[in-house]
Amino acid sequence: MLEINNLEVCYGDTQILYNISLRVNEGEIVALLGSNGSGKTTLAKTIAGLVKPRAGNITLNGSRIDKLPPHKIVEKGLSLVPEGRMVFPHLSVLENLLAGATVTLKRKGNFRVLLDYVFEVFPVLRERQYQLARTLSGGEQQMLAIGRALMCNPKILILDEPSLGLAPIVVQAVFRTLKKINEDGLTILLIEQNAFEALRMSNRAYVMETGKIVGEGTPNQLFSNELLRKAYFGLREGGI
Amino acid sequence: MILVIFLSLLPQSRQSLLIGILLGGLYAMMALGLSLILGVLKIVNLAYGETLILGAYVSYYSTQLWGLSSLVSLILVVPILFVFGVFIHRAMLTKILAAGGEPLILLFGLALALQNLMMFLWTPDARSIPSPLTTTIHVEDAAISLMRVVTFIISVLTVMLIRFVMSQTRFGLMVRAAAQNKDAAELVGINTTRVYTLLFGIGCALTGFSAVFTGILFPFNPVSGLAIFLKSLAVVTLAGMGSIGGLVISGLVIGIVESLGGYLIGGGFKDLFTYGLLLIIIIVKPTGFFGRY
Repeated sequence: MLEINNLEVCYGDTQILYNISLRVNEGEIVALLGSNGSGKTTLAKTIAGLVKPRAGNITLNGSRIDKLPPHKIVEKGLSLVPEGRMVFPHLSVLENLLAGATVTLKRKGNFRVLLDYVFEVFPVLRERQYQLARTLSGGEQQMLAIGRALMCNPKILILDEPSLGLAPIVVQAVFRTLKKINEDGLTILLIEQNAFEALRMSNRAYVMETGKIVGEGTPNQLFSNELLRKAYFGLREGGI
Repeated sequence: MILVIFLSLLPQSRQSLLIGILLGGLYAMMALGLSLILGVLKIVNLAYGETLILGAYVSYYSTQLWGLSSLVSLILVVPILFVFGVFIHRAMLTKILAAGGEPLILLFGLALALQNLMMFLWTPDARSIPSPLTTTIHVEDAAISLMRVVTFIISVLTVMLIRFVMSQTRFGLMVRAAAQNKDAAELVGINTTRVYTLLFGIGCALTGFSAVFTGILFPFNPVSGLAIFLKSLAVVTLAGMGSIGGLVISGLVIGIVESLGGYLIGGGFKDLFTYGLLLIIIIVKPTGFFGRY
């Protein structure tokens, strides 16, 4: 569904991403792992259109999206939950979701159905629907950000470090929900530092380091790779 | 505060107080365009005053050349300034912003260009748009022109209308979202460039709307823009960024302070009070009293 070929991305004169190629097939949950500074967020922003690549291409279901502005990429069915959540702080939960439905409403899509789905998946949002977004806790804001991204009825959802700053128990709840959403039919690209949790729920994963892809495979394959074990999973020789 | 109450009890100053209140409404509407552009695009429109004066001139000449009533000239002025605003944003501001340049310099240059253009076209002589209403009403021993009262009512209604649009319509939601986080707005499918362009146009259109009323109540010339800009800036600063309802209160305060100040010390020093108040606000509460960001 999503294909990235030989992507090169720079901020001014500084190159951040080198020859990035990866793919996400329909129905999969693919994880993209890497520590701080590996270029994960730059890649997320580039896919979503906030940053333009110097070379390479990105295609969604066959059509190129790397030259499109972000709001057009959303119309094509790709939705990004950005790093840091970026909810609209002075809008209510409901208004945030309404804003997220901009594309849906433009297309006279089924706003009500989508809203009910989001409230079903994240009941706390229905409870707090009239509260201002900035008064929500970190975990609730993350749920709001994901809910908002779902309101445009995307074909593929990309999440940039959804576990950042969240208590482990909240992270587990969020990831469980993502698994359910995937089972309901949504393709997911999960970009994370939190390797364990991300690998536990993905079908495949890529590993990034300083702007390059240094590994790919199924969770089991990656777990058994010695280099990766030491570098990313902080494991010593022997057991998990 | 005590001074205000004291003065409002004096019959001689009641006229000034009343005028201050009525003018305050106009000031609020006058500041609307500036507030919207500042709050959403985060740009101080340095050409704001000149834009307003331009609108006043368009209205003036439409009454002189084509015999239109000044209220009818609104139908001409508002769309013209809307198109003007859209043009300035589309053709100039977006290019400067994309190139990483400083929009304020562009707007400053625009202000100078407009001033000189107007002086060249229409001479520096003061003009005044003919008032459609000439009756004076009497409240106890104060004499107020009906036009001022009508202007006040229209001003307050306009501010309330814009507030409604911003908080209750889909367009208003998109504007508020884009104002709070441009990237996030793009990520939910909002074409922020188009929103900004429309908003700049609307800001200028509102300016045109206020221009007609301002031009009726006050004589103007090509360099009146600066005073208009500073006064609007005072209203916006006192109200705080992001607050539209606050503009009315802020406008009233400034109107009253200015008017009573003028009564106490003499008309020529009115501005001293206005800008003195602005200075105090900047020192004490720079984010304004009702502002959100």
